[in-house]
Amino acid sequence: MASKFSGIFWTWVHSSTGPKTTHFWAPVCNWFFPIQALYDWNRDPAKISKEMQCVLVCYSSLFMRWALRISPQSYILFCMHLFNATLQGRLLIRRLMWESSQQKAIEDKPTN
Amino acid sequence: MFGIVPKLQQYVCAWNFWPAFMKKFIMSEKGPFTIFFWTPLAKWGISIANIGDMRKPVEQVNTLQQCVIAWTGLLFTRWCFIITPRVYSLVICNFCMAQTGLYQLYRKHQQGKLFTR
Repeated sequence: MASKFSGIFWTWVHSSTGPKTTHFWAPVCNWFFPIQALYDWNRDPAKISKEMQCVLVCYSSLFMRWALRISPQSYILFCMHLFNATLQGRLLIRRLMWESSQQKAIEDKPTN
Repeated sequence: MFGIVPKLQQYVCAWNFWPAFMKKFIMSEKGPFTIFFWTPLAKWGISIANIGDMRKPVEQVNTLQQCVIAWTGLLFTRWCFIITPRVYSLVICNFCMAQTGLYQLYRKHQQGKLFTR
C-alpha cells in the first residue's frame, strides 16, 4: 500500500527546492511587492514617496530584462516584475498628478 | 532584441583612448553594456531611496511597503548564502535593504503610527 506521504505533491514538498526551503519562499516573497501596490490602490497621494516609487519602477524594469537573460529564463519572475513596474508606476503617476494639481492651485490662488 | 546595445558597445570600445583594462571591462560578460551590471545597482537604489526617506515625516512612510522591503531583504540575504556561486556583494546589498526597511518601521513604531496608513 502506498504511503500517505508519497506521490508527486509530497515529493515536491520534501524536495531541495520545495516549500521547506528558501529557494521556494524567496521568489514567492517577491510577489508581495505588486500585492502591496494593489493594497495601496487608493492611497492618499500626499503619503506616496516619489523617490521610492521611481526606484521601484526602475528596479522592476531592469529585472524584467534580467529574468529573460538568465539561464534558465524565468517567465514567472518576468511577469511579477511586469506587474510591479506597472502598479508602482501607477502610484508614481498619482503622486506626480497630485503635485501638479497642488502647484496649479497655488498659482491660481488670487493674490489680494 | 534590436541589437542596438551590442552595436553601441562596439562603438564605445573602438574609441582610442581607452586603456586595455577599460576595454576588457566594457566587453566583459557582466560589463556596463549588460543587464548583469545594472541590476545590483537597482537593488542598492532601494536602500538609498529608503535612507533618503528617513528625513521625511513618518506619515509619508508606507508600512506595508517597508514590511515587504525588510522581509524580502532578509529572505534574499539567506538565499544568497545557499545559492552557488555565493556573491557576498549581493548579501550586503540585501542585508542593507532589510536594515533600512526595519529602521523605517522602527521610526513609525516610535511615534505610534505603525498601523496607520
